[in-house]
Amino acid sequence: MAKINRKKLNDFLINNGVIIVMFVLVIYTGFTSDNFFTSNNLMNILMNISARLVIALGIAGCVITAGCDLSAGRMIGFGGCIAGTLLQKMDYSNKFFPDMEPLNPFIALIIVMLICALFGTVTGFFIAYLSVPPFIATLAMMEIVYGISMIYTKATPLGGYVKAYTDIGSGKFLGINYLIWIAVIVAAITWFIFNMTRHGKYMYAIGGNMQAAEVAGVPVKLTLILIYMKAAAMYGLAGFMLGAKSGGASVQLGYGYEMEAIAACTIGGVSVTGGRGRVSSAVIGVTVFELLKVALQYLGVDANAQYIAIGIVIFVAISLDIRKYIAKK
Amino acid sequence: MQGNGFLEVAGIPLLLFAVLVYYGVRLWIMKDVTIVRGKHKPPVKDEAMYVKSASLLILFLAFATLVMAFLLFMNTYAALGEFIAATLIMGILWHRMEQKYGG
Repeated sequence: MAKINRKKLNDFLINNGVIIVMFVLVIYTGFTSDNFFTSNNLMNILMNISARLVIALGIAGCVITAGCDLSAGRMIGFGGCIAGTLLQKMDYSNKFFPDMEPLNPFIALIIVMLICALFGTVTGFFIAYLSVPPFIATLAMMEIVYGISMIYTKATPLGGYVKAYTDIGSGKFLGINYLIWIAVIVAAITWFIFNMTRHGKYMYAIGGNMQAAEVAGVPVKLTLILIYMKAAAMYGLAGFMLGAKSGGASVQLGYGYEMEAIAACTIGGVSVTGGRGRVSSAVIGVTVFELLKVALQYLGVDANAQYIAIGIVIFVAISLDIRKYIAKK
Repeated sequence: MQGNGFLEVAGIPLLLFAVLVYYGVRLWIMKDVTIVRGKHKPPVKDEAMYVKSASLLILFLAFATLVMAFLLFMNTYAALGEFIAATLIMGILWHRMEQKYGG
């Protein structure tokens, strides 16, 4: 009995090792820094988490089907730029469309999500119908979206947004920032899709064993297209949110976020080998990852050394995930 | 042009080129089709031909990326058009390869 308990404890420590170490680091930082455990800092961390959570939830769907989406970062930049060009003030000197009245932010958001979803559909088509490996298809889409963003914006940074748009980044409801509310709503919708819909069941079936899912009658191709389409729409939303938060955008917005999101998903428990992962995994992963970054800043770790620390965390998390997969086999 | 300026314009296509060359060469040498097919797909009909075709296609896309990196300095539209065309060609050829040699 004691042996079984020890084994269970060992498995728990190995499976959640990264989270435990980070948790200890956060507690240590909290007690050694004056301003870490303050409501302002907590709200800042939550605001940083909000856009990243939306990205991670989009990528989680792709990762659950044993895929990936490397175009996320560029899609975020593209989404942020489209929103920016549609929501500039009339009196702004460098207005992108000088004669166009700024749109309602909600309509702009829908346009951004639809355009991004269209690109996601193309990626999904390449993966599902042409059997192109996800990493190649999404790498190619990353490049295409980047090129289109450069041409669209002429590589100029955007600014001068209407108040209704920037208010989304700074306004509050019940004392909580709108961005956090948006992330909560997206997480709830994603939870519903993953757990309560046929599409969610198909997604896990494809990730578990694509061949078996196809034999069982799962519409694999359609499901894959929907997953990449939905993910791209979420990157568009994240770009919109980041634009509102920073009050500006450029094609570089969101650069490298896809790697952070994949890493966060893996830390939280979304398996890179497919078939496993929940919304809570993405939430835990993004939170832990963001807390790690903030804790390292508070501890005064050199900015370049932070990259090394984050890289080590990603390396360890993915190694542990692969270990779980091998142990399961 | 300064090194940083060069990397700002062509950094991403060059990175993509390096990644694709790595995968193409790795597939060619290791002859491990799971690199591109994943672990759950059925075995391929003709492994030797599949490996050869898949590596060549990945290297073709890598070359297209390199061309794009240089075209970016001349005309962004041409660079984008070239890469979209190459991706489409690669996608169609990949599909044909899967039908011919895949499982």
